[in-house]
Amino acid sequence: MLTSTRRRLLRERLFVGLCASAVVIPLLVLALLVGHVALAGLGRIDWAFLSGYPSRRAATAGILPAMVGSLYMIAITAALALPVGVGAAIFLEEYGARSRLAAIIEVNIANLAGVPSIIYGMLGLGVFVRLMGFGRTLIAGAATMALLVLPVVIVSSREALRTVPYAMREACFGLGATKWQAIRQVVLPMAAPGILTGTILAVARAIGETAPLVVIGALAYVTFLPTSPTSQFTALPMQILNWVSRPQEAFVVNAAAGIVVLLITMLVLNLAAILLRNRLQKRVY
Amino acid sequence: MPTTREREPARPAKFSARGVMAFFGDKRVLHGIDLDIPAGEVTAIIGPSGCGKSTFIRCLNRMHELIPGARFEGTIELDGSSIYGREIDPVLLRRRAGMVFQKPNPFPTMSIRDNVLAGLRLTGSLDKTRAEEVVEFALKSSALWDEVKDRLKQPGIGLSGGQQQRLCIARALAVEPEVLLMDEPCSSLDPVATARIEDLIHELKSRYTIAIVTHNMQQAARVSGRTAFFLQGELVEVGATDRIFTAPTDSRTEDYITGKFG
Repeated sequence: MLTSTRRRLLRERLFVGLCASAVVIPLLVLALLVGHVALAGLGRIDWAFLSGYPSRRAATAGILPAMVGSLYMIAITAALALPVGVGAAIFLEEYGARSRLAAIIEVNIANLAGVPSIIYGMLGLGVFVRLMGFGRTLIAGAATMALLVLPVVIVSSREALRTVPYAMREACFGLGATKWQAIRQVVLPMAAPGILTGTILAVARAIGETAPLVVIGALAYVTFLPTSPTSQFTALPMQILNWVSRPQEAFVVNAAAGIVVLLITMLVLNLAAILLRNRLQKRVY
Repeated sequence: MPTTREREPARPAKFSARGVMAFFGDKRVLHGIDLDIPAGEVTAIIGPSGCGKSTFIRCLNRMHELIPGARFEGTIELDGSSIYGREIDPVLLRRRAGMVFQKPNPFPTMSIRDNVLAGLRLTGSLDKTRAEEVVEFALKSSALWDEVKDRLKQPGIGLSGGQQQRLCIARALAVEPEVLLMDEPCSSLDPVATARIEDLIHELKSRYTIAIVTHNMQQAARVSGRTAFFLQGELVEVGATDRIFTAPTDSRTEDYITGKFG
């Protein structure tokens, strides 16, 4: 009896240990990577680096155009993806949820979320850069990124809409509201925190995407700031890629510093998402 | 045209239902109901769970058909004209027949004041210059004014369950309906809160036609002038409430009100 109890306890501990290591090991690897990059790059980050333009000499090269380009691009990405994504989610969730067509669309959206980003790059190159004639501009990059994040925006918006109880819609209908009036004034405000969080997280992922930008041909060496959506541009990942591929050691240090800037930008965006959600949730008493 | 079951003379019918059948998918839950809801009176609909009483009042404001797969057959007239006609907009009908639900459901993103005005805002018919007047009228009508008049800006969801339900009644009244349909409005409330709602129903009956669904027979006896007894999707008996509770003509009604089943 006693021995079997001890064995059971041992097994229990073994299992807990396994689960804990599943948490700790990836975190350790991640910490190692971030630590390595930070060690190499942190020393390089100063005001001159943040406010400087690319240069042939590593010591004077800066990342301002890349940073501005990235922020500009994701702002447009969000502006494109949010209305389209929320619109699609409203249609699927509130209007077409039971039709066959909606079921087919739903499966395909889930599939689209898994399509490699380089494929979206090809699509962007074909449609936005060439067919629509945008060229290698900010708007082409942002539109491509918007396509890329759209499935995630749609899925998270649908989930947010689903958390609003049917009783709320019913209350609206009982007062003589149409479906659209109920959605606009009651359902959407209640779902807003979830929708915004999902969108910001999706867009924050897009800031680190490189492949689509490479394919649509964003520039890597840009000595000016983008002034309008039709400007040519570069972005942080492009700049990092460019520096990493240079043979000189000093440029690799620049790349590490660029990675640190990129990571911090992403963290700030995620933090913004959390703060925004908390603020809005307080409004939903 | 009174039906054969209609023994007592009633006031003119506000709602007049004939041959009402309601379906969920293939399942028929109402098997041909003939029932009048007289104007300016409280009609209670009683019966055990699943007898179709909620479905019936949801046919009266066409909420039943919003459920996917739900279907309706028969005729219902409001003030003598059909509400299921092709030219009838169910949205407008629902403004004439307000509804109070089983569970209080104030809008969580809105203050007490905004909840009262929600119906008018939702439908884009709020006259801003009259807003304060409407809020005071509706909250006084629902006997909530004295309790909330100093905190109209606070969230409606912060009120107690009974207050929330009276807020929902105020919200329904603000749209100025002619009929109030109440679907077990006290089933989630404690006895004190229930008593307040029942008092309120007494005050409202002079101004509105009220149909109240309840599984609480004492409540039906206390608040209503007429009672209809539903069983398994059929109307067993309808008449003046004191007669139904003292001298039911159908043995099933008697069994139910004496507690032999249900």
